[in-house]
Amino acid sequence: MVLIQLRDVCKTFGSGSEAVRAVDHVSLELAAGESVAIVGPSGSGKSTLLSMMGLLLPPDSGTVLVGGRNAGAWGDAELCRFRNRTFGYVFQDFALLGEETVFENVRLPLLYRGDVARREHRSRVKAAAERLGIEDKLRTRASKLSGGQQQRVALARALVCDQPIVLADEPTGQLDAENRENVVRVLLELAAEGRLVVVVTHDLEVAGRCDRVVRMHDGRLVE
Amino acid sequence: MTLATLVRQVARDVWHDLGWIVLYGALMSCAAYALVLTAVNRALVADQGAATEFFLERGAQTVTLSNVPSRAVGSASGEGAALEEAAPRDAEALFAFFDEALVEDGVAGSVVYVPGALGYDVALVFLGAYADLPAYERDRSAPVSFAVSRDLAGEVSSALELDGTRYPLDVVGPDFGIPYPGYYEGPELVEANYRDTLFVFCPSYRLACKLIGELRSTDALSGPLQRIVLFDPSPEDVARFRGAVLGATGLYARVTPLDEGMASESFSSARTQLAVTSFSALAAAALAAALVASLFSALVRRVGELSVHHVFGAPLGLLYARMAAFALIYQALPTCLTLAAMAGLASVRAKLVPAMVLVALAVVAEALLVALLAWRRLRTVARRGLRTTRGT
Repeated sequence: MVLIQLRDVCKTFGSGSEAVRAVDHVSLELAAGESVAIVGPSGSGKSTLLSMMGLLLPPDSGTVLVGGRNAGAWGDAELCRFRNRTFGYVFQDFALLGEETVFENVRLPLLYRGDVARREHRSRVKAAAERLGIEDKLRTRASKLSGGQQQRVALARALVCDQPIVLADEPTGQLDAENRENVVRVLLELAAEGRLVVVVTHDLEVAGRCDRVVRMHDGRLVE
Repeated sequence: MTLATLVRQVARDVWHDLGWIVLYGALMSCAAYALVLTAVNRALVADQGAATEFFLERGAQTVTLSNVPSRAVGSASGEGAALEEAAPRDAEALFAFFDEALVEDGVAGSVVYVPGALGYDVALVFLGAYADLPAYERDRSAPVSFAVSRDLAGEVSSALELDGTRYPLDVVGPDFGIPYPGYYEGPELVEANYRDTLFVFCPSYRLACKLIGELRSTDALSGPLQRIVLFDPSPEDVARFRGAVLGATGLYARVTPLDEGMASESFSSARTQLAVTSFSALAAAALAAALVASLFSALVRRVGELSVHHVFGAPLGLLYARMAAFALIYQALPTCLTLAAMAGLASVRAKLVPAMVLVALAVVAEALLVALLAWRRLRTVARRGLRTTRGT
């Protein structure tokens, strides 16, 4: 089942002589159960493409369909609700709330979910934490964890709502070999469970383990 | 997301910055309190100034009584400044002067306190030019006007009967104050000091004595002489007055123009007032700017964290509500302390109540504006897509 469809999408940053076309007429279809790596040199538009797939950036032209739905005309509140239920995001720098506990970080998407009762939060967070092996860290402040542990917290946060799509932007960029292996293993497991996992990476070894590799250069696909 | 969750989040935001909030709260409230006090003092001084103006415009000359140096009167050939005993002689000349000078548009004015007169605790009789005290609009077509203190409002009839004649009886207004040369007894003081009081506005001393017999029966040293002020008197008026006072009391009446010395005194007072006001205003403004900057900085520090919330489902509108609530609470402590200070003073100065409302509204508007500025930054950051959270 196709989960994400990009139809001739373009994105330009800046204007006039300083305008930079980050994504240039890209069309792509990504299906559930796939693990897809987007690779390419720095500045080739990988993260911008991923942001548009995750409905965090609107395209200047073209269409992004997620689950067959076009979010182009939605307001912010509706978009937020849809993103919350559909996407799990993983960032290179983890993007955790450093002053909060691991529990609060993992629970974050549940706060905005709306249809999950508060009493269910603990069991959901616990299940996600157990899966990532961080159940003993739930009361620890996120800023006290190592890089590998922080990325596992970020992964737990990305799957606590059972989101069907996981988007990861350089998820192994700041990790050592052991932690990189753990993160890649979890991401591939998520794809094996039927989720769509899209990973932007410079690491060709990580890309090679994905079902599909999409290459970008100067904002265009060179698949 | 429930309201309870939003409240919890705002409480956590506040907790993280509690130290700053308390520090600024304490400093701001001190500065604001000083400023409010200065403003109140300034208003009081302005009232005093207005009262003094009343006398200055009429060329007032104040009277000071003193024992007569023997050489001055030439009654003794003794050396030095030996004082002659003050010995009352003939009060008739003084009463005659009062009859002539204490009239409508006369050269003198005075106020006399008559305890127990006409069944009131005290009667204040405003004579001559004093009957036109600025805070009461008397009926100038009538020879005399009566009004009671505000505590008697509703308890007295609308007329006062004296010797078979009925006179309208009014109640003084809330702005009623009594000016003296160089001093002003404002409405608050009048209300506090004069209860169960009858105010009699009677330019004619002679008529006043007919209505209130105690006025004529008082000895010469009390009565109108105590607080008499001469208004633009001729040298002959002054000489006659001095002679009458000397004849009645044996005392020398020093008649001094009110504006002498008043100018330098008021300049010095105005300069001091300006310095204190400027310092208080500058301190309050600097602290207010520091508070606003600190608030803005605290909000901007949260932009990274809030952008993560946005990525995971928090709408920008909700995040603005969170920022605005934080901004309001951040300023609530100094505002509440300031308003409490103003409320304390408002019991003395009723005019401060609208100022309090203005302060509260200004603080709310400013907090919402600062939150809006920080929120615009969040919105800009949120438009960076997955790069939203870089550096958080």
